[in-house]
Amino acid sequence: MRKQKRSTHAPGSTPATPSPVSRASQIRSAAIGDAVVAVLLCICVVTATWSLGAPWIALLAAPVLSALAYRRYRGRRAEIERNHALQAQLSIYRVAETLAHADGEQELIRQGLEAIATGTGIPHWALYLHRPGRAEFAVAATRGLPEGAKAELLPDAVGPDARSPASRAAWLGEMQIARDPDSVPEWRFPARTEGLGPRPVVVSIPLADQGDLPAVLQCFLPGGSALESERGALLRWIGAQLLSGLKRLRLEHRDQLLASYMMSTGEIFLGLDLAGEITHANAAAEHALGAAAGALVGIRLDQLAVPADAGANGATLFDMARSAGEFSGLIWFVRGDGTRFAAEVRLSAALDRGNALRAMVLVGRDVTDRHEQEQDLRGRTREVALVNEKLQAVNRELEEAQRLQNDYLANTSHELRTPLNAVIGFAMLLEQNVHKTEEEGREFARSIRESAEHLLGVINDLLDLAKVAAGRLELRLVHGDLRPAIESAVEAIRPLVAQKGLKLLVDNPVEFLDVALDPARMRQVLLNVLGNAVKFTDKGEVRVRAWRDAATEETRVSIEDTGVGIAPEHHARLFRKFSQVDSSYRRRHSGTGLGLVITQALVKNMGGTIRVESEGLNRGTRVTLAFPATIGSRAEAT
Amino acid sequence: MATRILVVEDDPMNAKLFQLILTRSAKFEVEVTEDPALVVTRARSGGADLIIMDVSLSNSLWDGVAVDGLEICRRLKSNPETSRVPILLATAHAMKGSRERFLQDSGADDYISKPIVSADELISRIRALLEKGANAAPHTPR
Repeated sequence: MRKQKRSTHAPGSTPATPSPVSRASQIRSAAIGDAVVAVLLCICVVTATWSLGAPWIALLAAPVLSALAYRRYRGRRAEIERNHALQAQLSIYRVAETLAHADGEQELIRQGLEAIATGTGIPHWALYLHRPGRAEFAVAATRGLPEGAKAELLPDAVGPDARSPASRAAWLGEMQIARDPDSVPEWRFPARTEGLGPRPVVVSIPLADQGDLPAVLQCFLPGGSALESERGALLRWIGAQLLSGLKRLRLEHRDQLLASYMMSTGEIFLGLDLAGEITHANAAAEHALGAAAGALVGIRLDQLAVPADAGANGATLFDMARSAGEFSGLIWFVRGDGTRFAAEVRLSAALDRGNALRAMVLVGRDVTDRHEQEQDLRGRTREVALVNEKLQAVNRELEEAQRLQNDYLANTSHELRTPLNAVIGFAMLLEQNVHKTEEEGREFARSIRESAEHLLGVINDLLDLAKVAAGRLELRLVHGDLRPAIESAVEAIRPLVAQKGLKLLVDNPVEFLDVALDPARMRQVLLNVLGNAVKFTDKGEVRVRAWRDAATEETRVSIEDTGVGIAPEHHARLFRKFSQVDSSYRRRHSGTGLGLVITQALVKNMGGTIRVESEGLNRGTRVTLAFPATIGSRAEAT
Repeated sequence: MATRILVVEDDPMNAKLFQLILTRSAKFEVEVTEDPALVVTRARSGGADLIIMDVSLSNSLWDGVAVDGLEICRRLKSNPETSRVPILLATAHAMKGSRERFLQDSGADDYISKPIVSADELISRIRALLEKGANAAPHTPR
């Protein structure tokens, strides 16, 4: 469309501009015409006056008519000059307009040279350019020159040693006028050009702006032509017009590339003014933010975006970018509907040629997927870490179990070997007949029996433990009184209490303590707890108390001592196999460390609970057994 | 002068057994204790030619701190005044590797596991240690 409109300005449609030569001939013909008219008028007047008989009037009329004719000539000449000036202006305007509107570089150069030739009346031109992206400086177009001229005009390298007129002009940045081209042996002027003598004047006009690679416009005048200062100025002006036309095209081209990139890219692009308001938004931005076309323009960026990692000072994204010169990182974009998405963006300054800040530009992309993946990955990493931790814990447990198993075996072995040593040893002595008296022999035999009984006890413990471990500890529960079991256990322990010089206080109630029990097992439980109390108490007392708890209807037995107690950190080990709380070889108290484990299992199997309390080392221990009321006793109570 | 054996043992039955075997079968003089202080005294004064040491001790306190037979060995062997006295560990800890571990841990001279099944073997081990002690230079602790 633009092209069609533009085509009305094509040089072909431009009215022929009069050359300086035609202007002179026009003036000449005007002068001759006016003189002829004046002479004819004079003849007419003289003839008329002669015939009227007053010839003196003719003498008066002749100078008047001449003056009138001269005045008419002056007027016409001025009009021709005005007309010419207007035509020249129009043709120069054509040059400017052509250069300002041409669409492609080739078109601009071709039409531009045509318009320049017409506008200036100089028919022979050449244009030298640096091709974009290439360093070489070459003829881009010629006008009015023969076919092979391009090759002949070939310039040398632009630089301090340049000899060809175009390259020198490009290097020096000033208009060069070469009146004797043959003085440059490296450069041949295109010969046999129509309308130019063999030694034309070559005028080279550099078209250079700061920082750009220069172009050169060159025209050829007939040899010996002078270049008036007005014409020199006109040529410079034309050069400047051509340059701006070329630059405009290159900028337009770049703009088109950028615009098509912005339109087609999936990246979010926002242009911002210095107040942080959006001035440009591409389709990707509108799509990502769920905005209608054009709806984002005028909105403040800070209404749409917040940094994912907001600073402590609460600075907005735009402030952060303004103060630091740029921002690069993760932000949240908030859509009109309140939903948001993560975007990786770069917000940077757009500077003009003078390095002044003109605008800010945000380029970014939606990283929701990546963000989610990262979150997901982080989640999975955490999971893996947790699983790993669990595995390690399980591993530690397994190792601990393995260690306990090994300890269990070592302890079992030790507990069996110790009494066995006495059994075998005393048997050996008997066999060797080393006893001095019969009484001593019986003593050896008694030692064997006691040790064997101890061994049996250990074996029973181990068997009980195995049953506990297998869940096959079977009790024969009956309803009965707890008091006889307590009395029996107390009587069994009395000798040891007396031996250690301890006091044993028993507080057994008068009433029937009805519980569901296996009497032998109950005695075993009480004996174990009492035995522990005595074993771990060196002085003071052991107190046994039994009662029915009115609130819970439980039957309770507490065994309290004034012995070594239990350090708080050792409570957890109480019910572990073979774990006397000090499990090194220097343990101060014999025993397998199986008792409490078995006791706990027995109590549990009789429906009861066992609780061990101690306020700390050397502060005594209290063990409380609690058994639920039986159905019978509950019935009695109600 | 009869050879004097000091038995460090917490189990009365086993202590009595050692005493009987060693006095009846070998004519040694035997003293039984579980008090580390007495052990040190005997070792220092030459009142014991050899020590039979149990590992698990229930009631042995050294300066108020419970110690086992291995610890007593270590202390005896690290003191030049007592390190010459040969020590035979006699213990019911008899799992695989116990012998090596105990000997290395304690610096004791020999190890015999309970139950002791042969009085002759016990006595010959003791004699071997006594002879070695008499011929060799003082034992250096590890």
